Amino acid sequence: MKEAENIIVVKNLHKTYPGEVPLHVLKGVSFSVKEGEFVAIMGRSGSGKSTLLHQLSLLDNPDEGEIIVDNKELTTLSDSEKTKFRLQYFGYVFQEYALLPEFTAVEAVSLPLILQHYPMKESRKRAGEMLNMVQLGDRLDHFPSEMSGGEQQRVAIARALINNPKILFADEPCANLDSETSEIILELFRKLNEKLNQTIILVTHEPEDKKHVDRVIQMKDGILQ
Amino acid sequence: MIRDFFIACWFSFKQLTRSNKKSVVMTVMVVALLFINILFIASMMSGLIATINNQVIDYQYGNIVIEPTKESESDNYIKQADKTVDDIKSMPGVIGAVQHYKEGVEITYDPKKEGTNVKNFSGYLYSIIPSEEPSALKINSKIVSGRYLEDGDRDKILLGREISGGFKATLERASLGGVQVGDEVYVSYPNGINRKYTVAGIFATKSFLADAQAYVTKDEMEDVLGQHDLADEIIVKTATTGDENKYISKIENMSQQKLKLYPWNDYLGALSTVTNSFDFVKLIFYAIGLAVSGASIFIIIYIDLLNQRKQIGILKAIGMKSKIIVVSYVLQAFFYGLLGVILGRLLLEYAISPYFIRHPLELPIGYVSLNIESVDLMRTEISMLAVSLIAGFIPSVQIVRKKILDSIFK
Repeated sequence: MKEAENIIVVKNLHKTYPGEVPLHVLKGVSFSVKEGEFVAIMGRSGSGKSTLLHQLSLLDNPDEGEIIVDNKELTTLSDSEKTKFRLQYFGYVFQEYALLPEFTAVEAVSLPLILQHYPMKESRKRAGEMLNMVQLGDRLDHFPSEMSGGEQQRVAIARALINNPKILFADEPCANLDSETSEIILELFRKLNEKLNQTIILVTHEPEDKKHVDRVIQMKDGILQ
Repeated sequence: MIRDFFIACWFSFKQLTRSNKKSVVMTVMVVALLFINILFIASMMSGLIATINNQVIDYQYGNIVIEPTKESESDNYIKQADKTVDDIKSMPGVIGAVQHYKEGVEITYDPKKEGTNVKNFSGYLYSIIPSEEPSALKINSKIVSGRYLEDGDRDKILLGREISGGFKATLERASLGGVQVGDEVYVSYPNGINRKYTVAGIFATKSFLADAQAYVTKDEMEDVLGQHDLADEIIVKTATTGDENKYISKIENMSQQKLKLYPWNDYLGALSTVTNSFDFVKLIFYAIGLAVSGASIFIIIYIDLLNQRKQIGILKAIGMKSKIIVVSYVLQAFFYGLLGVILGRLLLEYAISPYFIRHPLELPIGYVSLNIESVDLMRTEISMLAVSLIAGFIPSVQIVRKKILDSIFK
């Protein structure tokens, strides 16, 4: 069986937040992730795990180092190239769902397709299919305010996946959910990873989440352990 | 590019139609009130200016005044006054032309007829043909006591309130001190003739200058002066105001006698400095109103957009181009501005303006209602829409330039 290729390669990543006392959050992080891998970045609060995820997912710019995704070096991209890359290559699931209150589930999920100039009708059809996949087929026209936290997070997952992203980034997606719903969400990630060979980078501080992932990258004080 | 614009339109439409209705209504209401605020004061000042101008046109000079040149003895009067008036009246666009004799006279009132407490007033006495006069001047509509003159009147006089006194005259001390209808006054003409007249009526136009005039019939004046078919002035009323010069050149071409023709605004005199001052004050109020309203709209839309900072961060994170975000929020701000302007205009045209036309403000200078000038209206509309665009553009660009993480999490 052919070994999976590295989809993410990180080399010597540094990030310092300026201030009266500069905060050196990432102190030379290097690692790689293979295509189809489900990786958890874990560590205590303040260990730098979310900062690392933000650098990898192009939501922030590192001070030093390289991020290579699908053989492309990303740190040198312009802002508009990063925007395009995010749209085409990445999917995001945030801790606070990050859904727009004025958009129904199906509209929220179809948005990334519409942004890529897919026809409205086709975008809506595919968004419906994606919501069916996360078992929200009966919630297509519901607004975020009409859904539970777990349902909103599943809408966010469907939105993250609609573009068939190379990598799905999830930043503490269960932090606002009860343990039962968290299990459902993590199990959903697991299934997506297995069924679609979806690469997933998950940031979590819950030790019991380890059982759902292939590998854990443990962080402490800005470096990998 | 067009597709991106379409996406921005779609996005704006969804956000506007589904955002908090109360918030949208409040924002639009505030923009509408700001719009009205600018135009209300400017229109009130325009109304004031229009009142002054209309008083001059309606009660003193019509649109055009024709005078003899007085270059020689034979040119002291307009000759063949009846024919000249008839010729002018036949011109298209002319709705009235009337002839006046105008004599500087002294009017004397002796209330107790004992020679004590006699009061005098020096001013102009005009002759009119009562049945024709209303076609050019509207003194007949401002009678506050008694009646207007009639064609057969020979011993009757019509006095303005500044002459009679009473009726809230502004210079009571200079008046005859309270002449009533039915009282007798004596008029001394420049040719030495004195006549006794009974006061037929008293008028009050609220124009100080118009109310300092007195009228007798043309037949009476010609009898006193021993003249016939002459005039000191002809007053011409045209259907529209502002194009007097067009009629002036036509009348000049038509007339066989060399005459002087002036548009009404040449007679504004000291009033023109008043109206110019009002115009200047209006401009200042307008500029201040526009600046205040512009800043207010900017702040309202800016705050609204700042509250959507997190959403903008999310949109950037999922890959929405910055220009789509900016255009969509500019469209939303423009929409607020457009609805506000439309609502403001509807309120002005169908509620506030009709109210003031029905219930004009009674100021000492006259009845003043809103005079919304189309140039002010258009200028305000364009300004408000431009401010809305800027108010949408600046904050959205600022937020779009922020780091995604700062927008979402800070």
